[in-house]
Amino acid sequence: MDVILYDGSFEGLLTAVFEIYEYKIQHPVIYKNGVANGSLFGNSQEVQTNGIKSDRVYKKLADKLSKNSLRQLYPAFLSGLKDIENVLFRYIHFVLKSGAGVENDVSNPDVLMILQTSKKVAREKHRMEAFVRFQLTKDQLYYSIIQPDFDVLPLICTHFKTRYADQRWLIYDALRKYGMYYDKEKVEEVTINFSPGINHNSIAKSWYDEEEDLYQNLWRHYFSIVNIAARKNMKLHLQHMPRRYWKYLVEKQ
Amino acid sequence: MPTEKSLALMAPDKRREDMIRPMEYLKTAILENRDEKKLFKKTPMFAPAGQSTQMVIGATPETDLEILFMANVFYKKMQLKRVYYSGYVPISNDNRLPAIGTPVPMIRENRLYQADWLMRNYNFQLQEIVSPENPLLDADIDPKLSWALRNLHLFPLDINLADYQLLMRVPGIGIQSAQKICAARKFKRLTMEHIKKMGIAFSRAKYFINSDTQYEKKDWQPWQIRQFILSGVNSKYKPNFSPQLTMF
Repeated sequence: MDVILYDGSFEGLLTAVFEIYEYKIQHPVIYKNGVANGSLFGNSQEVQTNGIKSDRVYKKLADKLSKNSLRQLYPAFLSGLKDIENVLFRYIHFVLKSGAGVENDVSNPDVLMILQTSKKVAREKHRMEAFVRFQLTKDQLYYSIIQPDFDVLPLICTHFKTRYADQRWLIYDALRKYGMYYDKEKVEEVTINFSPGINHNSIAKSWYDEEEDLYQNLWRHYFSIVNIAARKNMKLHLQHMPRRYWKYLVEKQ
Repeated sequence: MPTEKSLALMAPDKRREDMIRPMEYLKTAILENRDEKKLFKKTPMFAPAGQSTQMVIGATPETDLEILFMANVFYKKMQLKRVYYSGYVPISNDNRLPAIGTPVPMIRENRLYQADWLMRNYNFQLQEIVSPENPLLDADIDPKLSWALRNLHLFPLDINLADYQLLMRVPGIGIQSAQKICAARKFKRLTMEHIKKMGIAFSRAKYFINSDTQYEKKDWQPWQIRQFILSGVNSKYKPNFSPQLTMF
């Protein structure tokens, strides 16, 4: 058993896949660098992320897989589930050694896992395009906190970049402690050093633009008006908008 | 309003023809536009989202058969994209209408939508869903399940051999699951374990499918299957149709 360590990026994982083939490693186990404490009996080697190698793996997969299945790989990777790297490696290995169309063979547990995981992440991405509530701060920055189940920030950026191209905005993932900042030209990854124990909701109030409260009230009012009390269906409501997302939704405060 | 009779009752100043004529106009215009588009690339768009209509359910005494019959005519003859069904929310004390406080027929609305989907997407014929003998949809179970229970002689289906069109008629298997099964069985003979993991509603489907490895030997009667499935579900609408009175 050989332990392969990669840097935690998708390119890093693809590079690891390349090197497993390059050095003909027989029983590889892939870990994110820093997560595993190393195997006691076995070699452990670190992979240097290499754009050329990862591109070659991706191109090869593009030849083998349908467009839809190729598009599932990155979301499945972003799920960050334990051991997803090894599922992805087994999936890639299975696809490369088999004929065309094999991505539909859901009787293979890895194929099924990738299919279902990518679907979960896609669902979360869709929710996060809807459950982002921006708040305008004094320096005219639209600021929003989210706490998605999976690391979907890289997936939702394009949506907000094209939709709010004329505004500066920042979406911050409170769980993974990083955010995406758009300065009307490009989207960048940022980290913010909050002092520990900070309460986002209360501190944000002091940064608000003067009109922010008025808009928040309007928004809440709008929701209370469009609600049809006779057709209340709490189960369906929770199905579309689970309680764990309410924390950062203005209309639910 | 679904029928001429109830339109005359509720809105005597409106005439049915006046509603049908614009629909017919739209239908021909949309079809012409579609033909034109094949010839000229730059044909301006005309009603690109198609036509739809809405029927109010529960305000007048139509049966589900009449409602679905109308919907079917709209889909077949008028080329409508969608028919929407809205349960009547009582708002007026007019004695022609259900009194204020009557519950909104949500369960019926839901069943009508399910039947609508069967007609549009699952290639069901109207006669297979409702018939003059049973003009009402079953409130307890969905129309697909009640169709399957009426046609138990077609089941169980062998998941490795059954036709795609039949597979998606199995309660608990939808269009996507049927596609997945058809794609996967090209590689390997599927067992019930595979099917279970695929994410179909196995608790329903298990009475209607088998594969060569596991065979459901028991010969259940329709009412037994119905009982089994009903005991496993907890409908949010239960208070609406439970015959039992609640204390509070």
